[in-house]
Amino acid sequence: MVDMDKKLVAKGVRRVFDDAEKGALLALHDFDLEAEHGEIVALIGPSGCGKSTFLRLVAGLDKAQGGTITYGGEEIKGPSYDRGFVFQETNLYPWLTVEKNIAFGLKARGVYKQQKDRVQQMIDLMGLTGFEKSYPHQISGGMAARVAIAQTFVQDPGIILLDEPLSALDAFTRAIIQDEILKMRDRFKPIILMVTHDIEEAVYMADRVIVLTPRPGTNAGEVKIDMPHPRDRISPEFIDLRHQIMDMLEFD
Amino acid sequence: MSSKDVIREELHKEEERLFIKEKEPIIERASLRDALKMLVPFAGMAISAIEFVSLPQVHPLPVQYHAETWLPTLGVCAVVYALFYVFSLFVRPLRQKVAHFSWLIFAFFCFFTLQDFLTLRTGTLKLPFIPSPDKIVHELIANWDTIAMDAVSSMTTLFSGLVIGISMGIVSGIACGCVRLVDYWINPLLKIIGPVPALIWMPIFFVVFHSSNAAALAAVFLASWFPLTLMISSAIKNIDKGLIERAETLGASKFYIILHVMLPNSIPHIANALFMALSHSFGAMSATELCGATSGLMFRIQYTRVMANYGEVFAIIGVMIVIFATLTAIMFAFRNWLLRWQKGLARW
Repeated sequence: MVDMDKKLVAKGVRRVFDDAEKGALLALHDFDLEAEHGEIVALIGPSGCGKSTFLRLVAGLDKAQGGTITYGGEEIKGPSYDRGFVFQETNLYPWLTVEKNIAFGLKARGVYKQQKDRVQQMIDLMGLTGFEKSYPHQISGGMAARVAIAQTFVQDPGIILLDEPLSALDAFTRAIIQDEILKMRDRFKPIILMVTHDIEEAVYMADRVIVLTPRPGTNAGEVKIDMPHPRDRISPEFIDLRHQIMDMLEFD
Repeated sequence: MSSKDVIREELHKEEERLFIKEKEPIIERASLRDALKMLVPFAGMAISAIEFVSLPQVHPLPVQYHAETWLPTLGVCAVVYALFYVFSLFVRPLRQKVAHFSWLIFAFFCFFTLQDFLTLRTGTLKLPFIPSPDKIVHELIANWDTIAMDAVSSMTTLFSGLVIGISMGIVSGIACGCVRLVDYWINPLLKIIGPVPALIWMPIFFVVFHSSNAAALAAVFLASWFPLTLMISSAIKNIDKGLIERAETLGASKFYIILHVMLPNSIPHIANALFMALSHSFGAMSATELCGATSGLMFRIQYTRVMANYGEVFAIIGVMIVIFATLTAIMFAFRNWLLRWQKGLARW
């Protein structure tokens, strides 16, 4: 079970990329963030502002050159199943069926036998029933995105990092999966950090929206969203929040 | 149910309709058209039999020769095919194959009819260099024990070479792909020695191993080890990083990633490498048997050719064709099974 009191704290995070042509490229500079369990925090900002870089740092796939990122007081050193990552490209393992893709992490950690039921539970929860034995090439993009999300949630990680996993989907499927992610949040109460380009998506799903400046990315402001779920996308309040964030994104 | 649930239901049904195919029955009676089409090979056999019985033999040189094995051979073929025919009438997958090949089988017998006509009946193709089909079958039956022994000898060399070469190829391929130090030492070796046919090392192998069989084994090993190492290591080096990072964030260890991500990801390349390994090692094996071996099918061909027994030469060539084609077919069946998850796999 996940310890609900743990917090994700990032302070003064800095990441520089070495580029052969342009020299050092400062992607993220003095970036702070704090997040609690049960919270969805959306990161929004212009392209190349280091949003995805930050997610990769939290996941432990990349190392920061400055600042600290801690979860429950412990510094993040490398990847762990406790910080699940749903990637933008839903490249599932093509040689595994839907069911086995979802069970991948449990098997890798050697806990599949004890937690076998969770796989079927997740399949039912994400509306994948009937597709257990299908291979990734046999299912649609929307289904694949669901499998990728289930693959992460089935492990019950403390932190879930969503790097625009829905950006390639049509608006229809997208709306449905947004609701499914909210449902999963209510059930498992992880910390969810999501990167998105879509302001509507951020306002619809997140409890807080953190706006980043253009490169080097740093905190430009934060918008709290206190609307109850399910949110009405055309209510004046909703549209007002969208405008508010839009204004914050106009950098010059 | 809310409207969203309704939409979701609809989407789900649509997906099921699109992606889950209905299974076709295995047992199903043949249509008249298929039943007739599958009779065509019998016509081929009949043509061959009629030609064989009705046309007179030109005087066979240099010795009087009684052609007496072709009719029984045709009889056996007819019985075997009749069995296939009866089963095909009811078993759908088998029927698809048999119906597909029926004209080819017909042509196969027509070819032998033509061969018989040009040799035994007209003497256009000179005996003993081009024997009649009857003579070939006759020699096959008369010498089946030595041919079988040579086949076993060849296959033993081939399989031991392949097993060692393939298993070491997989290990060194993975090692080259994952460990930079191993790659540093083995990669140049692959680049320099790899493209060279295994055969040119034969003189050295003969000297080093003092035995032609060991030399043949070494040649087969080299012919199969090289493509596997090369293909696997390049597949691992070029793997989509996303697949590995995904596994890392799901809690997989390095070792688990090698076995469950890198290795399956290189299976399409392994399948191609296996095909290369197999065809190269056929060549390597045959060539080593030609120079200095004392057993093996290729040795036997050389031997019988010197003895001017061309009937047996052709019989052994036939046996080699059957063996190599069967092995290749098994290899491809294995490949198709390995790659059952791949989209739009080009079937062989």
